[in-house]
Amino acid sequence: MIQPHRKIHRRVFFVLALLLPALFLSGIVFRYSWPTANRGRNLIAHPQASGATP
Amino acid sequence: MSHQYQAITWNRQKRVYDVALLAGVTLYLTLFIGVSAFLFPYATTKTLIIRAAGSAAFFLLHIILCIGPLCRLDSTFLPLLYNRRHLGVVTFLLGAIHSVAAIRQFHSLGDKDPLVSLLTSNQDFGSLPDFPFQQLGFVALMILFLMAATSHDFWLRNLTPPVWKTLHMLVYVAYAMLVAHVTLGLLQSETSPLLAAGTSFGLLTVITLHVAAARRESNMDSKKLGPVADGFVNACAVSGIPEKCATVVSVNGERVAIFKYDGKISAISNVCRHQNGPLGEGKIIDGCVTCPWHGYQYLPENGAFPPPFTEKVSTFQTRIVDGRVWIDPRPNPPGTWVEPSPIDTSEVMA
Repeated sequence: MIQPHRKIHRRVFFVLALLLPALFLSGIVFRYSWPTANRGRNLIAHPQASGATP
Repeated sequence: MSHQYQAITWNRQKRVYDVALLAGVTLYLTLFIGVSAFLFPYATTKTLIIRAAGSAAFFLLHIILCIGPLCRLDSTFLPLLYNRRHLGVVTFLLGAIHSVAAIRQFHSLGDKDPLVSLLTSNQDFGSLPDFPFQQLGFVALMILFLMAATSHDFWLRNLTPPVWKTLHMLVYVAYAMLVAHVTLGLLQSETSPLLAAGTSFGLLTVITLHVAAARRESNMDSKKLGPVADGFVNACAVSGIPEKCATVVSVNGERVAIFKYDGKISAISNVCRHQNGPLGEGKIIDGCVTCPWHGYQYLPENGAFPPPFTEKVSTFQTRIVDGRVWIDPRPNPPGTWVEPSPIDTSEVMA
């Protein structure tokens, strides 16, 4: 009576064991690189206009 | 309805369990809000409540999902299984607090109905970083609600254990939704490695425990039994069964619990009628096989609840030859009386 349940349980969890880590890693890898406060102070990326004061 | 509602019968163990649970949740929420208010002084109270309730619900769901495999691997965790559904109801309540506060914070100031706004404001399903993660959380909350609402034994009896168990297996869908909700929501805006490490640790723990428990169960099912004679299968040695306990064997894909008690052997189905608990991991107490999960009892000779209860499990014919138990793999109808096989001590010793 319970055997089919056990098999379904194993199959469902096997799928999740593959799917969830893949989803988690994709979510982390493809997330946006949000600009941080320090970036604006990168003088190479944003050279100051001639005559401007820092 | 064919079954009448019976109020929950409280006992000391349930009270201790619930007091410990509520104390733990209260302590977590207090610490989380206190520490967050100190670290992030500009965060609003509503934001703190959203984060505290959401993280508590997610954390509790991990505990719930770990209890099952932990009990399969080590019976010392069984007390945690008792009333696990109370944990589930608390998880739903925390999730509901998180959702209501989040909807009020982010979806209640526009022209649209807040719920319509939640479900329609973001439909960018093609982008991982912009995925509408709120809708994943909403679906998970609906599943948790369904499970919390049907957690009482009234629904277990009405729906029957196989249907009820299937319904409650939706917890894995809810878990998958919540992992996606956290990964595509919180972890997109909060880039602290601690949060990502914590989430991955929880995920790995749940997966590892389930895989370890599944391997153990699978080994038990694939264990080859001895030869067949006269329709009976050589199942195990009498001396290998502890007194008033059982050895579980798998016959034709069905698990059978073979109990030794008072100089006799009886075999019944390993599956409790209450929540499919493993009867073979229980003991014989007061002459009855007692399920280790919730204490449901059956007479070993006929697999029936003692009167006035009516639940029954299948029984199996047994015989003892040369100190070994042989069983007929064909189950008798539930509740069928089977004369226990007497143990000849001299034969067992030989």
